Amino acid sequence: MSLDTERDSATQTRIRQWVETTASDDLTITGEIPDKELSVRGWNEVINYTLIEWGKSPESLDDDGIEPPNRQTVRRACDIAIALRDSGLPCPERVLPNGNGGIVFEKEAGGRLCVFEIESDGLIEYREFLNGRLVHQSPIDKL
Amino acid sequence: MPDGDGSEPITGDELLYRRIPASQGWYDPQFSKLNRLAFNPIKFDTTGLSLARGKYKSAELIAVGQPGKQYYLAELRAQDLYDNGINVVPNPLPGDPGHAEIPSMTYESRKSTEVLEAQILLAEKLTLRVLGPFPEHV
Repeated sequence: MSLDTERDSATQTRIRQWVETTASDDLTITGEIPDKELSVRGWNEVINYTLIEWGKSPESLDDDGIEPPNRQTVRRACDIAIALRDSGLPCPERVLPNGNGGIVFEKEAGGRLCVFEIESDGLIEYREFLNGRLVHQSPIDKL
Repeated sequence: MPDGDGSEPITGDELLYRRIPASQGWYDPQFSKLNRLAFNPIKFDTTGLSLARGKYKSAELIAVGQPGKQYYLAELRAQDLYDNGINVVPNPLPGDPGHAEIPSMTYESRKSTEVLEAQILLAEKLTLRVLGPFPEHV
């Protein structure tokens, strides 16, 4: 599984442009550790701690009216995290359940919010907000 | 607490509360950061996003949820919602006269531009403060 040329090129370009910009910002902030190494480490923490823990104990997210992600959704989120990590994209700042059985990866910088949402039915959506306004939304089905 | 049945209109000065399960990580108390997902309609939000009217219940009672779990409350002022084009209406339920909802924010409409942008507005601009967690200890 990898990001490849089959994927919607416009969306891929938007994702890459934005995440590369924020990766540079991260490097400025964090200083010493090369951004790629930092990012790989971040993705590994997302996979090995957050997602695997959710997969092992989905009941930890079970709550009043909330549908936790099931193991299949967690597995899919792991696959996507690995694909994004191996494509050199910076790790998300937040990995959160969406309350409807899905999982959200978010990265935010300078009023721009980038969101990957893995839904319980397997659909993946990429959204980009600028100062609270939705400026891009598209399904991603070639990951 | 008022004796009304909860059907009276919500006045601009009323405080409203959105309950946020601590287990989901939608509120980060370390950085006082509330995530928009706290206002993401879930499957039960078929007629609108649920809120509680502060004049009917204390914060501690509004925050009551699943035993053994903790909850935060996002505090909102009705007039701020109205001023930003977000309507909120009474929706009293049996035993819960203070139940209200935002009818434009439903599970069905959760992916619409209006709802996605409203989530950010509510979390980042219109929430006056976050209370909790309730109960303090589990």
